[in-house]
Amino acid sequence: MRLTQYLASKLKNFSNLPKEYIERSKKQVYWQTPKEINYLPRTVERKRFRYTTNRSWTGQFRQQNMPGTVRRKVLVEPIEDWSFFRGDRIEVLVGKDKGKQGIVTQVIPERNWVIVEGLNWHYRKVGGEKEFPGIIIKSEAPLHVTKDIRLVDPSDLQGTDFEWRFTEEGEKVRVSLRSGRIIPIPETNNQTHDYKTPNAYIEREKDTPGAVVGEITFQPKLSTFEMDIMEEMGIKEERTPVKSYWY
Amino acid sequence: MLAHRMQLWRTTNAAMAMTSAAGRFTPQASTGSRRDLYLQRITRGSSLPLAAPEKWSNLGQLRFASGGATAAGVSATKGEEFMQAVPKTELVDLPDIPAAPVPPPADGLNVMDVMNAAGEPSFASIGLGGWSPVGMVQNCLEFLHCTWDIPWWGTIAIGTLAVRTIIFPLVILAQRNSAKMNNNMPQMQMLQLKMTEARQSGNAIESARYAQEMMLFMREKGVNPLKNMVVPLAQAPLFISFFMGLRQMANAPVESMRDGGLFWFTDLTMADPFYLLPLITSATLYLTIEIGTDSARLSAANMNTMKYVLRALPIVIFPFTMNFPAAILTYWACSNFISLGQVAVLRIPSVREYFKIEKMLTHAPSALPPKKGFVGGMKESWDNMKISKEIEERQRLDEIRFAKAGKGPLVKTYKFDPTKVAKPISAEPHMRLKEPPNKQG
Repeated sequence: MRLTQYLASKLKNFSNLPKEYIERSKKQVYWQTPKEINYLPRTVERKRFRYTTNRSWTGQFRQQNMPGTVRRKVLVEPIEDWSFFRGDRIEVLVGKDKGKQGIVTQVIPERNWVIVEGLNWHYRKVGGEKEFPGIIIKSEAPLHVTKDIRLVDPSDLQGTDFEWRFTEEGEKVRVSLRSGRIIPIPETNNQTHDYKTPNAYIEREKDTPGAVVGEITFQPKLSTFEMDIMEEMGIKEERTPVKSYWY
Repeated sequence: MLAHRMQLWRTTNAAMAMTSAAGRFTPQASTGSRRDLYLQRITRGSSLPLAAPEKWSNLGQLRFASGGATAAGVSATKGEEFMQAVPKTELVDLPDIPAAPVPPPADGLNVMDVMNAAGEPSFASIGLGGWSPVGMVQNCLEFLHCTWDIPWWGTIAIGTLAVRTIIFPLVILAQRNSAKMNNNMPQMQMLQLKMTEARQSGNAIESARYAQEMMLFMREKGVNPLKNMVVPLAQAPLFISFFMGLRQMANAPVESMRDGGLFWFTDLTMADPFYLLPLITSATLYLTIEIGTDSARLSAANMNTMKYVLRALPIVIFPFTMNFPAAILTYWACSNFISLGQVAVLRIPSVREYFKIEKMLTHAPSALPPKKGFVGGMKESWDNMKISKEIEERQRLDEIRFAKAGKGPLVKTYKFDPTKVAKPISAEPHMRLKEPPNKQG
């Protein structure tokens, strides 16, 4: 179970933020051996986190997983092929919004959750004090992907089961089991924090322009390394080598 | 008969007096000859009364002839009666003569209406003038030309100077605004750059926020981009009125404009034969745009493409101006020279202080965004246009793809990846499994 969870957390794509950033922001290192020659590499850090709708790079997540806090373990069913993406059209199967369709706005694979825009919401009371009743916030609760939602078939706009298949070009696609139609993966899934489309990315001072990266500067030449260095440094060989004989 | 002759004498004297007056204003021979032709026409008109009595006499003679023919068949006595009647007819002719004097006074009045103070045909008689803006321009120019006997090139120059003097306060206003805008250039350009980046990133809220910030900044500094447009907008109708008015005057043509030119372009109604006026106009227009009259320089700093368009304008205009009448080009060249003069005067520090125009600051290159060349600028604009269009389409892209997937043709799919060859199943294990029973049996 631990191995499966570890692999799943490594392989999943988190909200299109860089994986290194997510790992770094979540890390809680309590003690670590110095990087000296006479020390073995040992680290004591937090390994069990409670995942909720607060994403793992936010301050609320850190508050919920403070050092010393021990939470009851939450069992999560491992899913072989993650099949729900941001921008997908889904149908709700449970709750007061049963039968309605909506667009996925957030994906939380650590808990097998998705959040649908405008559906499955409830009111939360926040900031109450002794003399102040607090304010009411409308929040959308997450839905479980294996039990609470289904994908919508593009041909008749009804909920349907699906499976992953391959096209003639070898592309992996989701296919509706009822009608055989391909359910396309939405383009919204490719948006990141930095851009909506790769072409629209605005380069900064420290970015390397695409033209520079694509420039081919290697030119094949028949010469040894020493010859290259001498040519580069402007050294001209004028000595006559001593004759040598092989017997 | 004597009264009629007296009228003729008076008309002739008046015509001769006018001839002498015209001679004083325009001593040139060609104009004099034209005046003489016109006077000859008047003389011919005045000679009409002399012809009338002769015709009437002819009619009397015709009656006499017909009377004779009739008498041939009758006795001699009746013929004698007709012979006696002829003297009576002669007496009856006399009372018709007094009707002749009426036309000459009318001719005199017409002459006064047709002629103006300078002895030239008035614009109203040619079909020019009127109360439209173009007509008012023509009337003003005519007034200048006739009242003080100024040649046409001088009239056009003075008219241009007067108009530009009237517009001068607007020029001062625009200069103040452009000075402020230049001094606040780095901050404005930085805000504009951030707004553009936000829009390209698809962040509408950020873009609107920067737009609001830009508006507040401009209000605080008292800068208004539209004030730069005040001078062109005020000058455009005047330019068009002068242009059309002078073109009509050249096409009519106004006779005195044929000699109203200067130096090598003496005929203002024709295009310049040496193409020097079009060249001067284009060169002064280029200088005006480059030096920055009406804050064109500042505008160019903001918009790279617009700068190149403005620079190409004189070159593009030259082929058209080659065929313009010299009068129009005279006006245009005068206008450009006055603009250059204004710029030169407004650059003097004491003059700027007097008119309360701020001093222009020179910003370090690092404070301004990096400049791009012509090709780079055009490519960047094209890329920005494409990116904006793509982002706009993207909002509806998912919906369109979803609908197309449902209505398009069915796509063949496979359980396995057809691009990878499946390995054949080996039959050896089965053979091995079957061998031991055979051996045992």
